[in-house]
Order: sequence, then structure tokens, then C-alpha cells
Amino acid sequence: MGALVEGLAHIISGLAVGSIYAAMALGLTLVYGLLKILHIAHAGVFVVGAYAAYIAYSATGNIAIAVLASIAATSVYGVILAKSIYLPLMDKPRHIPLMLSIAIYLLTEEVVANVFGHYPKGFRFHGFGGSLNWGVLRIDVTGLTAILVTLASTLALWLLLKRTRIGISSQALSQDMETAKALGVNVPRVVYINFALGSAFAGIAAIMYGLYYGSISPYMGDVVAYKALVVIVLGGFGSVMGALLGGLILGVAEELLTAYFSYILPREAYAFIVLIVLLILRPQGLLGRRV
Amino acid sequence: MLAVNDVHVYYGTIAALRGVTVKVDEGEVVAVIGRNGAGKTTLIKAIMGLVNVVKGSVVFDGEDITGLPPWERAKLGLGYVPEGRRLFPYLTVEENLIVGAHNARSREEIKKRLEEVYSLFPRLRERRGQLARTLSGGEAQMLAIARSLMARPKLILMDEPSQGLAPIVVDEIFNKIMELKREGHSILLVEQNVKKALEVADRVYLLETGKIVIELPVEEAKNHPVIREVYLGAKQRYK
Ligand SMILES: Nc1ncnc2c1ncn2[C@@H]1O[C@H](COP(=O)(O)OP(=O)(O)OP(=O)(O)O)[C@@H](O)[C@H]1O
Ligand SMILES: [Mg+2]
Repeated sequence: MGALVEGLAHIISGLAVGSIYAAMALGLTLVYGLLKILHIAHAGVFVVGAYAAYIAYSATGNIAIAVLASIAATSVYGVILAKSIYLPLMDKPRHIPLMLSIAIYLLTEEVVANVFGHYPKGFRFHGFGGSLNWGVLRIDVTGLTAILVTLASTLALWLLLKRTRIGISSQALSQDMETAKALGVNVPRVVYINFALGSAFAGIAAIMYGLYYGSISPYMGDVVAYKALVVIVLGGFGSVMGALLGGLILGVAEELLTAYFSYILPREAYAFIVLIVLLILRPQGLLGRRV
Repeated sequence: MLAVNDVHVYYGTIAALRGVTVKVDEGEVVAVIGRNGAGKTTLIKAIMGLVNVVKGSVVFDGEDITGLPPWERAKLGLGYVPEGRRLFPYLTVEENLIVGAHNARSREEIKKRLEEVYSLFPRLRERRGQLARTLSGGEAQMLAIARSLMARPKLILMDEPSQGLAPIVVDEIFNKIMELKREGHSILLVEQNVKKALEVADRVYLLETGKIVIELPVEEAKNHPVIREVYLGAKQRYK
């Protein structure tokens, strides 16, 4: 009984961490689907989102304003990156925007570190947190919120892609850019909208990360960035539901492996073991090429 | 309506179009015929803005569109049926059509246009929920044409609609093109299947290695010795 409850608790915290990975991966997968680049600078957008929320919350003490500030800062930053780097380099070989993207990420980290300091800052919303108790089972409110927020926003994104014209045009663009252009799809407009949305997800992920771990730092993007890459490989590049599923699976697998086998390998190594095993089983990713 | 004036296009250092001039008037069906590699697709892409025009101009409806991006050309009324269909494979038939309706203002407008193309291509209505990649070659070609019609274009550019299709299916496609012609659509048709192209065209251009070498009304084209012997096969006769 005790073992069962403990296992369940691990699964729930795995889902919580996994939903942060998933929220990050959603932004990457949108960008990858459209432009076929690994948007490493997304991790920089994530850091910007965390500090925007931190500043807004310190100034106002209002959670809604902190969330909005994070979403606004990340979407603006994402659109600036799209406009200044990715769109102008669209016809260049893919490693060129990739290298720039890495450079932008490192630059963002260093700028944030210089302005706000290298050390982590405590991050919490007062009055938010604690845990729900159901009998012997205790559920962390922050983790539960992370799961629900990610589920709801993934669903909203999926509906947007499936049901609206801008969503259908985005899919068309990701499947055949040249033809979509010639059929009247305004490429920059669709790219900006996707960057704004995807970056907003990074902002939300950053807040969930800060609340879950209780602090933020200029380097918080490092680990999350490569895990998000693992997640989009797992989920199948460009797939929204795949990113969600991949994120949750990675989070749970990591949590369970760490809980029961942490004496063999560190947590970060398990992410790659999960990746390798799943790629052997399903090389096309979990959902292959679907939205 | 469309004037392609002395257009030059290069791939790297190789010239694909070397001073091509082509005109299409309102209500006309114009065929550009030519062999593999003559530059037919390049011509269509130059009109659509998908390749860079180094010299010359493209004028549509009195406006010089040479520098415009493709989506703005589409907005001005150019419809595009690409070589090899180029459907969006993981969208359904109906979603492919919706992408085509870029200038429709409302959902009702899209519905109305869907009804129109479905009545022209009833088979697409039956397959509306199916992924485009699962269509047969003929159905796929019909969808590519229907998708271009969704924007109610003033001029439709068609790149080898007969490509890779069985003769009986080619006939079916060309019957539809004939139907579009009778409805008054203006069409610029690029084809290797000269016999079929001459059945629907009003005027014909012959493109050889990036240059227009012959321009004739269709009746004269059918009797032109080069076209008859080289492109239609020496013994072939037209009634
Ligand atoms: N992307 C490209 N890069 C380099 N050369 C190209 C490219 N596309 C076409 N070409 C060359 O330009 C010339 C014209 O090609 P184009 O595709 O326009 O011919 P086409 O008349 O449409 O041929 P087909 O009947 O086979 O479709 C050919 O010699 C072709 O090899
Ligand atoms: Mg061609």
C-alpha cells in the first residue's frame, strides 16, 4: 500500500515536470514544423519569460500581471527573432540559422546574467502552492496546476491548428512551403503568429518551472532546452500531440527511474536512455507526422 | 491580362529562360508546349514569383508584379496548379480546398465556394474527409485544380495536368479543363501532351531550351510542320 502510494506520487510529479518539458517542446515543434530548424534560442525565450514574470511580480505582487508580462515579453522576443534571423535566412542551408540560434541563446543567457546576476533568484507567488491531501495521497498544487495548464493549452493549440483557417494554413506551410506561398498563404504573417504562440508557451513553461523548483536563474534554459529537444524527437518533429505525449512520458520515466535507480545514473542521463529506447522501438517518433 | 515580357531566369549560371515573351488575353486558353527541360515549369514559377526574374517583367492586369512575393500575386488573381499536384498530403481534401480560399471573407463564403467546386468535381465531395495523400492520381489532379478555383482566380496557371496519368484519366481531366474554358476562365496551360493541349487551346507557344520559337493560333499550330512532325508524330492528322 505504502509502495503504491509512493509510486503514484512519483508518477504525478513526473507528469508535472513532464508538462513543463511539453510546454517548452510545443514552441519548438511549431517552429520546427514551419521552418525546419531547431530553434535553440527558444531556451533564451524561456529565460526572458521567467525574468519578465519575476520583475512584474516583484513590482506589482499580482499573479495575473506576472503571467501576462511573461507572455508579452516572450511573444515579442520570439517575433523579433523570427523577423531578424529566421525569415531572412530562410533560403540558406539549415545549419546557418541553427548556429545563429545557439549564439542567440548564449547571448541571452549572458545578458540576463549581467543584468540580474548569475545567482538563482527565489521565485514564488504568495498564497499559491501547498498541497492537497486525499487520504494518504498528497498532491502538490503547483505540480497539479502545471499539468492542467499544459493540458488545456495544448488542447487549445490543437484546436487552433485543426479548426481555424490560420491553423490550416500553418499546417499547409509546414507541409509544402512553396506551394502554400503560391496559393496565397502570407508566409511572414503565419510565421510571426506561430512564433508568438510558441514563445508564449515558453513563457508559461518558465513560470511553471520557477514555481515548481522555487527559483529561476539565467542558466535555467540549459537542461530544459535539451530535454525539449528530446521531447520533439520522441513526439515526432512538428507534432503537437506528440510533443505533449513525449513530454509527459519523459517526465514520468525520468522521475521513476531516478526514484528507484538513482544510484546507477544521474537524472539527466535517464532522459537520453528513454530517448534511445523509444527511438529503437519507434524511429518515426510516437505519432509520426501528424498534428 | 497577362504579359510576360522578355523574361530571363537562371539556376546558378545556367539559363533556364532566355528572353521569353508570352501573352494571355481575358477568356483565352493559351498552351505552352515543349519537351522535358524546355523551361515550362520555370516560366510558370516566374509568373508566380517562385523563381527570381533577372531581366524582363511580368505584368498582370496592368500592374507590374515582377517584384511581388507569390502570396500577393495570388491575391491579385493568379491561380496556381503546380506540376505534380503538390497537394498538402496530411491535410484532408476539404482542408486543401480551404487553404486555396485565401481571399474568402467569411465561413459562409468558403462554404459557398466549396459547394461550387464540389458540384464541378463530385468525386471530391465523396472524399472530402480523406487525407489528400490517399487520393488516386486523377483525383489528386482534380483536387489541385479545384484548390486553385477556390480563390476564384482571374487567370489559372496549370503545369502539366496530364503528368503521370493513364490516357483515360487524362481525357477526364481535359474534359474538365474544357468545361472551365466554356465557363469563361482564362488559362495558361503548360503541357508535354501536345495533342491534348491543342484540343483545348486557342493559341499555342512552342518553348525550346528557354526560348519561344513558335507562336500561332491553334488551327495553324496543328498544321505547322515542326509541331506536326516532331511533337505530334509525323503521321498524325487532325480533323
Ligand atoms: N532547381 C533547379 N536547379 C537547377 N536547374 C534547374 C532547376 N529547376 C530546373 N532546372 C533546369 O532548368 C531547365 C528548365 O527546367 P523546367 O523544369 O522549367 O523544364 P520543364 O519544361 O518544366 O520540364 P518538364 O517537362 O520535364 O517538366 C532544365 O534544364 C532543368 O534541368
Ligand atoms: Mg515542368
